[in-house]
Amino acid sequence: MAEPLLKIQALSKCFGGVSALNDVSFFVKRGIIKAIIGPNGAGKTTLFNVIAGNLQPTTGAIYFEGNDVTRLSDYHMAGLGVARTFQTTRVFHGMTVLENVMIGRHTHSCAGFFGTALRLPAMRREEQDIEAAARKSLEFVGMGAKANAMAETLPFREQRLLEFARALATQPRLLLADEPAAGLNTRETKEIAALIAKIHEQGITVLLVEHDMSLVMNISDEILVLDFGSKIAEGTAQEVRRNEKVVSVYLGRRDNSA
Amino acid sequence: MMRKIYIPYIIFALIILLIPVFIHSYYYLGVLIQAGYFSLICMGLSLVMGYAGQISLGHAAFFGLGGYASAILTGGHGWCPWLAMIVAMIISGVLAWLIGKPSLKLKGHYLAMATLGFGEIVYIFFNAEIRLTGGPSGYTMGVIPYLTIGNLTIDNEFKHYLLTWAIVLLILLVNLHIIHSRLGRALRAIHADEEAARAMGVHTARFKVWIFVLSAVYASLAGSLYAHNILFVAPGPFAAMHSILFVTMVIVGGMGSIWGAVAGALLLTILPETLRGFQDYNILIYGGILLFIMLFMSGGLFGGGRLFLAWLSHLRGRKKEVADG
Repeated sequence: MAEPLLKIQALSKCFGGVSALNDVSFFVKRGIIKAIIGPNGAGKTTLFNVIAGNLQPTTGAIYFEGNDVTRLSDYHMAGLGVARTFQTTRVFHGMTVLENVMIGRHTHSCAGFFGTALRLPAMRREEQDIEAAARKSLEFVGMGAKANAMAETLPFREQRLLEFARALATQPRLLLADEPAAGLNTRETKEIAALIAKIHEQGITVLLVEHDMSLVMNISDEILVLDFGSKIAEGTAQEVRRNEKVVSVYLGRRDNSA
Repeated sequence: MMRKIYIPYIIFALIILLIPVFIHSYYYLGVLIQAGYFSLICMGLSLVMGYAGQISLGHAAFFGLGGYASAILTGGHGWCPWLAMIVAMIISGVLAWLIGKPSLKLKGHYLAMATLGFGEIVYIFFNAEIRLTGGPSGYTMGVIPYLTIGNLTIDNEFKHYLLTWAIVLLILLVNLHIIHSRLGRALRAIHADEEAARAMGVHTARFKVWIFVLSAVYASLAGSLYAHNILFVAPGPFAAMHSILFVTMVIVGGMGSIWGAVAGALLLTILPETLRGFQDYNILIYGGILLFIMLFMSGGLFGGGRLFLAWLSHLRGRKKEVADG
């Protein structure tokens, strides 16, 4: 069997005395869409931050493409091909949409101080390549017409699309999407689901955290369920839906309240 | 895109180069030369404050290191002034790296504290290392030469003005190039959202150190030019008060704006000179003007300028809407 793209091994994370993640192990196969679900406070975003290198795990190990990346920082992970979008959008204010996406090419370009200061031909060529690649990413998410708008003036939905364009510009092998449907209405959620499917078609593996069950059930190949920092179930949408533990802890609670 | 940057630059360069045609007074040219040195320092400091989000309270020390290194190497050891200038820049850069490396890793204003201490140490060094620096009465162990370019000796205020501002314009162009490039985008991203910048693969800590080192090198360059103009260095101009003046210049001009740094340096150098006529009241008026800028133009001169431009384009947009509708 081919080696999984991402392997998480006995991961735990404690904040002081509170354990946010407790001995979580799973792997993400290449080319799939995997969703992590769970009630609020289940540790989903903490798990994301640990994988992305924002937080260091207390114990456990993370392997990306077979390499131990447990202790690597976030900027390093980005360079290896792990891109992310944030739960509350974090576009760069004071910069245009195009410039925001051009940052995504940072690790794929190399212009240094002297080339930049003197504006050498090689640097100008690279700059053109960066712009072309950024425009392609923008077109891909359907934001080509907004290239020159200031990022902070965009409506929320477009800021989220911009984050996807920015993440795609890094040419990731793994995309971490933190609640991509948060704050969106039903129609916009469908649009994001379609976009994630389209990203998946490009051969990019997607790991997402999500609350919106329709989104998760429709597009995910595999689902992992967290509760109080521990893994309680893992499998296809069908399997998870039938899992009693999941129903009682998560879906069940929802049914009761409805 | 670059055209938008070059047009104001060329206009500014023409104005600067035409000034000596109209102003012949060596006194006024001297004030403008001083403003040139401060522009160099503030352009670097503006990058540190506006992009790395850090304050340096020790830039007068880097200014002084440039001045003293040039003085000692040329006056005491007979080095070629240009070579001494480059060595001075390297010394300042290495010291900046040593300070920046540990303090920029930490969140919070540790750089401000470290540079405040560094500035004080350097100032004490200038005063106390009498055998090397001449102590409080200044460097008198050797004669600091004028700069020469080929057969041309830069020996009067007119020539100093042109040389200083040619270098300021060069560094201004370098900075404008940096801001509108891969490096500048990374810096602006750090300024906007550090965590998101890291998620895009920007090594934020390294960028912050790099920009601090660059700013120290600019200040050192200004110090060397100063030494070869006045032909004398003493500890006075390199005291902590001047570091704070530089920070004030950057804030008044508008943090994170390269043009703002130059505007702030020009304004706060020329203003005290023009207010001299008011004698006892000059400090009061100076303070009043600073207060006015901070209260009503919170983004500084160029922050305010940008707001003004945004307001203009907003008006134009509205007119267009009316015309279209």
